[in-house]
Amino acid sequence: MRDRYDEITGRGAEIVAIGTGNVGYAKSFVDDEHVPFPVLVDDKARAARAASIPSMNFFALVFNRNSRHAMPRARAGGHRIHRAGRRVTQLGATFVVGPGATIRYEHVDADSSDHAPLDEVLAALPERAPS
Amino acid sequence: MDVAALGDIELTDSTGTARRLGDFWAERPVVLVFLRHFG
Repeated sequence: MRDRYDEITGRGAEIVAIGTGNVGYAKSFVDDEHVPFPVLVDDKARAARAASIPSMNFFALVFNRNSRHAMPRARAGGHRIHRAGRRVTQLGATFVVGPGATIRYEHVDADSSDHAPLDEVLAALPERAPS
Repeated sequence: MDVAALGDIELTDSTGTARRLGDFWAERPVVLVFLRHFG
């Protein structure tokens, strides 16, 4: 998603990422990966609960074929895998929200290898930034 | 998802600053990504 950040901001939108670690993890991620958007820490899972983000059974996560192959594939693609923080079983999710309290799109990952298709995310955004 | 409840939540960003989630999408759309891990 970071690779298409300009395309997203060009439509008048912003990316906000929420992780499960602590501020140190978040700062390391932002610094090491040159992340251009806000990265927030949900250490008490308040945001995850409000967004109804599910968790996966730990053993299902470890032994899930897709999950098992996701990390080597990410590393092969040049991505560094940073620490997961407290809730390793929490699944990921992507929403497009706003302006205002409007949900334009939602995708809750089926497992750790699943991610929202970027084309779907972009399709949920305005064609261009309002003038 | 309870977007109103989510919007009222304050989280700390990578600089240690408290940020209210609803402020991000008050005026513009936001791609809100819940990460499993940082990276």
